[in-house]
Amino acid sequence: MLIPKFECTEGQTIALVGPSGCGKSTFLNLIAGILNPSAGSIYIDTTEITALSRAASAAFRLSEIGLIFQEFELVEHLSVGDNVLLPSYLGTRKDQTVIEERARDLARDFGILNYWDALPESLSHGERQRAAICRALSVRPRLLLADEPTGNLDPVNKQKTLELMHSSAKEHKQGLLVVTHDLELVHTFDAVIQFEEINQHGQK
Amino acid sequence: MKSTSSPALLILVTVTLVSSCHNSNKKENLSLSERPKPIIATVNYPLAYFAKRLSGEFADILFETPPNVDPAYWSPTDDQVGAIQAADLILLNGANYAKWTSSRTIPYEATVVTSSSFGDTLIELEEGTSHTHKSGSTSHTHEGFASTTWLDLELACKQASSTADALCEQFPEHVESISGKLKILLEEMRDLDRKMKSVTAPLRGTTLVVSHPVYQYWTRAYGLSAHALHWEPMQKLGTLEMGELAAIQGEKSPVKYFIWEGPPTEENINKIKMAGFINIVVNPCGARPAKGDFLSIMQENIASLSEAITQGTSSNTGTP
Amino acid sequence: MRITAIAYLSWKALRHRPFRSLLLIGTIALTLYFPRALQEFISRSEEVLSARARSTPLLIGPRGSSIDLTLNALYFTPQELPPLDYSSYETLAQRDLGNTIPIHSRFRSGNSPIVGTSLEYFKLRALSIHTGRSMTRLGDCVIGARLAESKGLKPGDTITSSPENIFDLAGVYPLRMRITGILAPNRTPDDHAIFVDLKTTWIIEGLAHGHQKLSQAEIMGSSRNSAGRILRANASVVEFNEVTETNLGDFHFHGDDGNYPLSSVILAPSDKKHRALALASYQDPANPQQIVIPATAVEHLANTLFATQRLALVAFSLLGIAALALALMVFLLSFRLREREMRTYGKIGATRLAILCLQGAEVTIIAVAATILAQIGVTLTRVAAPDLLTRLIS
Repeated sequence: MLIPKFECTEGQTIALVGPSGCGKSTFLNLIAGILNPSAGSIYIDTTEITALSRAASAAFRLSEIGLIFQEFELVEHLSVGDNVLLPSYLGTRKDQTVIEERARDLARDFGILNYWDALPESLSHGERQRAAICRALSVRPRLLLADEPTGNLDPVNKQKTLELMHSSAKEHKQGLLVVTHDLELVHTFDAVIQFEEINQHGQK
Repeated sequence: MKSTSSPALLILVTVTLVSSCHNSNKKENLSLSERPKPIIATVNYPLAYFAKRLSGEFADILFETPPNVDPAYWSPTDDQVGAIQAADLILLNGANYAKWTSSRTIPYEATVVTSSSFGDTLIELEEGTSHTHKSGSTSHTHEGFASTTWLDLELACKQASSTADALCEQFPEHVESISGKLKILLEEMRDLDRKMKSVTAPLRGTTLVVSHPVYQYWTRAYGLSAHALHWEPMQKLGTLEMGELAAIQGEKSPVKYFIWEGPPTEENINKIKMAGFINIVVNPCGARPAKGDFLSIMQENIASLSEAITQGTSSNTGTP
Repeated sequence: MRITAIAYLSWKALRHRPFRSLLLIGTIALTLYFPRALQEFISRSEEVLSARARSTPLLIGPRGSSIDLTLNALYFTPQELPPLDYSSYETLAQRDLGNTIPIHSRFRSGNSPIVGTSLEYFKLRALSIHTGRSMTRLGDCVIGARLAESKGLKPGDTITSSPENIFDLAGVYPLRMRITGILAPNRTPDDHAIFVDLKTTWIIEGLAHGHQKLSQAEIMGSSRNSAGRILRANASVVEFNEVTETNLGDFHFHGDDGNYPLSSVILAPSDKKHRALALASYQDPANPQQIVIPATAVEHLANTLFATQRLALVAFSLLGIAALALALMVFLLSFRLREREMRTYGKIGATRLAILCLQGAEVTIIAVAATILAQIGVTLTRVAAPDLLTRLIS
């Protein structure tokens, strides 16, 4: 897959659209540092993440990038609160109390504070996705990457979820990249990037 | 995420461990003078007397039979048995004396049978004669061995020596004192023995009637012959009893002396006198006397015998 | 990743699957417990057996198995050897070689041994009365602390000897005994026993009895089946099955007491010379009696125990390896099933090391819990070993 120069500024929301298998998720994983490109470099602010070691890349991702998945990927045996705080558990930050307060505020804003001690299985789809969003936002990342975040939601929750992500991005000046098949909602984004179908040689 | 610690539990465990340390100083370390006196328990008065004479003040003597009860048939209470169990030394007479010892629990190691040195000379009773002392009351049987060994003053000396040996073994720190006291006691008893031999000499060859079969060792020691009845000094003598006495008189003659184990009633004295006997009281002294001690009682026995024999020599009948 | 976070997340994962976690803890705990508990039990048993044997310097009994004799005298196991004569005890006591203590332990009350002996036994074993007093007469008993506790007995209560067979053919009949005292606990077989005067066991054996003295008229007119009394069909004489203050004097012994039975005699020699004399007295193989050094007999028993222990440990080790392998497989399968969860951690930003630490922490928590549980079990086994040994032997 050949990716031309790409930029996302703080507070900017970009929708990534295209047919299945065209590399949208791969693109997100490259930006997140989960995958490494065979050539080229990726910068987040001044940090060249492609030059980081695996461990450093993970640490960077933990504190600077928030990830939201289509399947929510909440840990089923942790409470909603623990899921939201999971990035801080996995990290090394010591201001746990502050982080927890902030996470609870987020949960309140997203309407899931009442489920703080409940297990994910007792939440609806929409509530689970909001919990996943809270998890992604809990460490105040600079960049939010969402892979089909509304794919499993009904129309009302889709709308709500996107609104929350947009407002968070604007409020906290976070870059927001969203992979979506939902063309009805792309107009809410600042920019849309159309991914072409990639042939077997990796060329469009 | 909350973390808990339990310092309180740790402290509790530590305190428990520390406070469970044993009180190792429960046992008192008393000096010799502060330790309680040793206790010597005996089954009859003569042994109590010997033990007291030989131990002096270093031990207390435990002899709880009331004065009006024959120690041979005394039955101690649980408390009394408990006190005897706690004694440092328990002196038994042997010869089946103190029937209670066969049905009560006493420590073997603390027990000494004072007649063991002459066990082969004990007098075996010919047959068990069951009888009652008071009509209608529980009967007992004289069977096995005769048990009033101390009436033979020579055997009493052996019992005193046996007592001294037991005391010396148990209280070695007092050996010298015990030996000294034994020497004095034996001298006094041998003196009594000589007197008894002398006073009873005139009775040899005569037939005596004794109120109760408790004089076997006395008669054997002093060469006497006696016919034993089963009468009490306070017992009312009726036709049956007097007939029994008359039969004896008819059987063996000359019969002159009737020996009581305790002072008889005036009526009995007269009846016996009327039957042609001289009344004599020879106290076996198995129980604690109301007054006097073992040697003084034996002395009184000797005096009674002497008086009766004098009376008998001058007249065939007389008053005790 | 912080250690507290690792521990917390691992704990949460384990708590979410309580059955699996407890099963793993239980399996590993048992695997660790059994071999150690066995070693601890054998070691403690050897200590206890040796201590009790050392406190019993010499034992005289009928010739036969020295182990049987030792166990009967020390642990009151059922008597396998023929009885000893009381005259043997008298003869030995008269030799004045030391402290001589008769033991007659043929009878039981339920599962509790009735031990006929003398007061010297209590001094030998350093037994003291905790409640009540020592026995004072025929028919009295003092009982061990554990027996009193298990049956709720106290001084003043009674306990009855058990007949040896339901038809009572041997003349052994139930004697109701008065409990006068409870011994202080001492973690030995004495805690479970009933101690009586030696003569009381002879009453149980039928060698002595007490019965009502009746006139001929009373004999002819005796009623039958009076409560608490046994009537003989032919003589109509009432035999007492309990010794009281009232009937104490009516109890009598028949025959020559020199022939009366004992199980064994304990001898505590007063010095080495007397010990040597005692040992020499029973060297003749033709002597129907033997002298046993309990410490030596117990040493043989302990050697057998240790040999058995080695075999058992090999078996436990093999089982343990299998159990641990199974546990490991359970962990690996569990982590395989949770791959998605681990991928999520990775995506969020956990390093491989962090993920390994999480998995390792779960295994560690299980292992530590199992170890603690096993250790508690081993400690309890050590504490309970003397009582368990007594129950097993008795």
